[in-house]
Amino acid sequence: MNVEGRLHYVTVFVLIGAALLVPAASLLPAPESPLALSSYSVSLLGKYLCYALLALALDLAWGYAGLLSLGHAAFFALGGYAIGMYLMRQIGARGVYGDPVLPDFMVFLDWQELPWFWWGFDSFPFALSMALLVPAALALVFGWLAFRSRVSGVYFSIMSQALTYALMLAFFRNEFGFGGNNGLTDFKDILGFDLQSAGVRATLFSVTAMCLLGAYLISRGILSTRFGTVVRALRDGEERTRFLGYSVASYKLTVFVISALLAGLAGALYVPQVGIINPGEFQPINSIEIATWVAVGGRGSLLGAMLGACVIAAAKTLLTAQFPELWLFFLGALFLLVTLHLPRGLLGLLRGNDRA
Amino acid sequence: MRFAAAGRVLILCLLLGVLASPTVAEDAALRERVNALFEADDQRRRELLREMAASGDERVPAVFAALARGALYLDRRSDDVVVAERSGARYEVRDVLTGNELPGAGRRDVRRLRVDNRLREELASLTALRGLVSEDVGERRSAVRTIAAAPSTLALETLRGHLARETDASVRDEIELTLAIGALSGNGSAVSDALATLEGRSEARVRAALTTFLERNDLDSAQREAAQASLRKAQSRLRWLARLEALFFGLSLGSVLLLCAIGLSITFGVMGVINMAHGELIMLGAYASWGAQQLLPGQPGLALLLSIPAAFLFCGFVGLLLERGVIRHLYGRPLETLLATFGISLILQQAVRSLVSPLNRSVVTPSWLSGAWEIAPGLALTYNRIAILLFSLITFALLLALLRFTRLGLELRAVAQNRAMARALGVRSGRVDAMTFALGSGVAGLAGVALSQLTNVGPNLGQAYIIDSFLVVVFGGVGNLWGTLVAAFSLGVANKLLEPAAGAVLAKILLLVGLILFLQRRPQGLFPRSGRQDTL
Amino acid sequence: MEQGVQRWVLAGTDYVYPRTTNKILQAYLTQKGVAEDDMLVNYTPFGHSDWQSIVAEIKRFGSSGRKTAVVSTVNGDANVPFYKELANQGISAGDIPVIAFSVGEEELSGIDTAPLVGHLAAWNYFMSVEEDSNFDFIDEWLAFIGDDERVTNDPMEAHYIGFNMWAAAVEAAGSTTPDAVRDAIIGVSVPNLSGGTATMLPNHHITKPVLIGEILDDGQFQVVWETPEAVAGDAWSDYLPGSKDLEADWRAPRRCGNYSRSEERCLAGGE
Repeated sequence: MNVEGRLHYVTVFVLIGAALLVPAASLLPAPESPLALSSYSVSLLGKYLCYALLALALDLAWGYAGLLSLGHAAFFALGGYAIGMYLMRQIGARGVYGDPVLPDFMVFLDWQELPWFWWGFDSFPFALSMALLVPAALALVFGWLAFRSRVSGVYFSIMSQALTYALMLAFFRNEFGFGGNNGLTDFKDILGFDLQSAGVRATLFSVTAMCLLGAYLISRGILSTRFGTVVRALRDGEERTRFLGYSVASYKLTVFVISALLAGLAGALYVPQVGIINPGEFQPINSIEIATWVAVGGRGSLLGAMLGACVIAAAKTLLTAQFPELWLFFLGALFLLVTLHLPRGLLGLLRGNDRA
Repeated sequence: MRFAAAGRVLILCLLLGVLASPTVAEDAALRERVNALFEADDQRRRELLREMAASGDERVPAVFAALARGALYLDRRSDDVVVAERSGARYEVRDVLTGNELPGAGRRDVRRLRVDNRLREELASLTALRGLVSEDVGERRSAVRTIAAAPSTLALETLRGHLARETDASVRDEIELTLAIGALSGNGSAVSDALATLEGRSEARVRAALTTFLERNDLDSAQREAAQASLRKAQSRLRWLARLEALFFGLSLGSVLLLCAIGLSITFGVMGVINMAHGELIMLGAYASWGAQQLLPGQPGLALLLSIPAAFLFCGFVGLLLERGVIRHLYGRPLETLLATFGISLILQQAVRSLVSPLNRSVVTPSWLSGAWEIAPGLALTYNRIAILLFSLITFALLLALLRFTRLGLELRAVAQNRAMARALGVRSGRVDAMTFALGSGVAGLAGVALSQLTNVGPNLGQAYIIDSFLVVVFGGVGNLWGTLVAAFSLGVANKLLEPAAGAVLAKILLLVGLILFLQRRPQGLFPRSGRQDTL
Repeated sequence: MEQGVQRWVLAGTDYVYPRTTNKILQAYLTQKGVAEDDMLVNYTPFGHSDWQSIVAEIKRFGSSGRKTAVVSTVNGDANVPFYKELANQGISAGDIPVIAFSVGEEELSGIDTAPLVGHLAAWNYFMSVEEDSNFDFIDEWLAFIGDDERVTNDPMEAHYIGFNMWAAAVEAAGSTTPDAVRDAIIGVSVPNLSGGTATMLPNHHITKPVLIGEILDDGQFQVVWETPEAVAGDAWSDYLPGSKDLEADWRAPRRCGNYSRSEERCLAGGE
């Protein structure tokens, strides 16, 4: 069995293990015990897994279909906002102004009633489906327009970046109805359970780990079908694939929509764990950071993308705390190193050894 | 009326230019008045200042100027009022009349003389009376305007006296306007005469005066109608001027976009390099103009002019290093170039933060770029924006000429059209690539110099413009300089025409969405490049 | 208002603080008889840099013949291009004064201040306050940072007060546990840097003097107006319909940040 194959089993094993062990370490031992995980650490690990899911989503589009989307931060944030809206509605009358229906920021803006686009978000299934469908729908419209006109390569990147930028500006506006600059925060509970409790945090972590595992297995499954082969073919030779009679645009569109849907799922899992969503998540730089995770881990490999996200996010936590001055130097240097010398990323290193 | 009499003496002194050379007694008197300023209350201060102005002493304007900019302090060691300038934690102290240097002071040794807007206005109008007898037309005009801003009966009388002697038509016009505004608060035929003079004038102070005039309740219907008609006329004129102004704002925004995008148009459009560090090259150009001002303190104008070539060369050199060090290894891999140059942009930002400062730097606007050119009352174009508009057009023309008429331009176009053929014909394509990238980077530096006159000079400067720049290039049609020009100005004007109705942010969002939709339909932009082209 | 200002431009960055401030100001001005037409409210995003149209609008709004002033809650970076545009379009402090709520000495150190002279700012402390306690503080700060060009500002004073209050409360409580300190801190008084004292009130706000300063050429402020004594901070504005009824009282047993006087209950955030 090659490295990739072995890593596949390791990953499945690690994710299942994490889903069981992290909650156990958080809940079972006494808080002073050296084995105990603080609920801060649980959320931090959960955050990394969300990033890994986001990186996986981008890798599907970029690594397999050659679409470097700089709009994934937007899909992620939209998913997060959808769940954030649900969590806002759950606060109910416990807000500072005590209004039973309107979130605090709407009372503050003197709004009299809930705007229509907030309807239904008091229901969890509705909010969750919106978290997946809104990014997917946006990807569908944007992708359909783009692929129909054969927008590709860097043009696609620049335009998806402009899309993210426009959304960021819109969400920063207080009149837009999503809390403006402050975004949505001060959440109390989810499905009736206290969001701050160690149990809920541990559960959220497990759910995230299982979702990541599920997304990984499903993506792997899709890619191993004939569909996956065509997608890879159009990445390597778009014209040739088209001449072979495949409808390139619909293949691209399908991958792009699935990818956006997974990014939305990552956002939906992320927000309850970090407790806030604001328009800063739409920043164009975030999209590029996601691309770095994929590039560093190894694009065109689902495992690589997940690995890259975890490694860089952990490095960021460490470096921004210890040497805040050095973080950007480190990240910049990493970009250069990977693009110039490691085109296949960290995983490429491992694979290289395998072949040698 | 004693006050008015004193005023007349004052004016007489000024107009006749009675400037006695200072005697010991006058010296002591002036010093005493200056020292008394510290303790005096507002009323007493005014009196002291009037007395000082009336003395006609030629050292008074300097004292007034120092007071107006808050440089007069009470030196607690000698209890004298002195001129002090802060330098670091210490103060350099000079005598208020002779300008002789006195021992330096610490923070605790000095107390600043209070100065506020009212006092500054008072000082300005006292100084302005002096300006009326100046030889220079501009000075006389600004003197009239200063007086007109806060007209007292005394000042109006002075103006009326001066009108007979005034030779310049524009200054006469200003005076007549001021007198007519003053006459509006009177009665009888003087009011009707004033209304006739003010008919159809759209100056802000005329409209203000007419609005106040209409609030009087002793007007006859003819007067009321005349004033209303005059206001209506002014307003319709102003609406037109506002449209022209919006157009100028749009062109100005367009010129900023053009400057930012045109360097990209070369590196992205001609070479196909996605340079995400372009914004940081702009930022470095802005720092170059800051650096030049640090090296030439006291000469912001000269420093700014010198920083134009300096920024071009510096950013060009940085660009050259980038191309040789990184980008040439990535030709033909545009997405990797995007990521690598993004890494460079992070490094450059953090380098400026670590080496210079994370805080914004202050770049001084030279006096010849401050202020506005008043074409008509209600339509004033600011000099810095006019200058940047011209600067962007000159830069564009020079670039175009360089591409068309120089050997580098020829080789550059050849390489862009068909690299292999150009190489076969003996063009050293590596050298051409390096020079082209350096050229694009240098132009980014020029944009930075221009931006230093408009906005913050800080490590994040480039971030604000990079997305817009890429969109301008793509919208105009990649590889087409003229397309970039048209795209920049049309986006700028569209933005500014939308802005009054939609607000600044919504205008921008609408424009972005419109742009995305347009490019989805026509990915090649406004002016697609014809002929053979390597796909990116 | 004292200066005869009749029309008001409320310009701010689009986030909570400017919106709160402008909401209170609008309610206040309406109560003082200012018509809605005489108020122009404008919000811009963070870091807004092209102020041409907005400044032109302010200019038109201010040229109607009645004295106009701008209350600016424009935040941070966006101020530089804003003031530059004001100066270039010929709006001086004499014509249309701008009073800023979030521009201090630190912000001015990155701006060419010449065109700004005479515009106003409202804070609770200025570096130019001529008090010995302030001189001591400045000397210590300059010695600490090792750069004589650096400035002090209001947030630094707030920190100075806050830390000293906490220290005094810890001494009084004999413990650093948050609950003990929270109970002990109410009523604690410490000296501020402008020659007075700051006292912690039951609503967790403190007393501070209000200073209005005019910008000078050298990046400092000249105090032109100040309250005769320190003002007690209010948790809820008396000018807003939704807030009038609320009060904060963190003393035991109420311990509530938004106690409704009419409903006689704590809306939320209490214990």
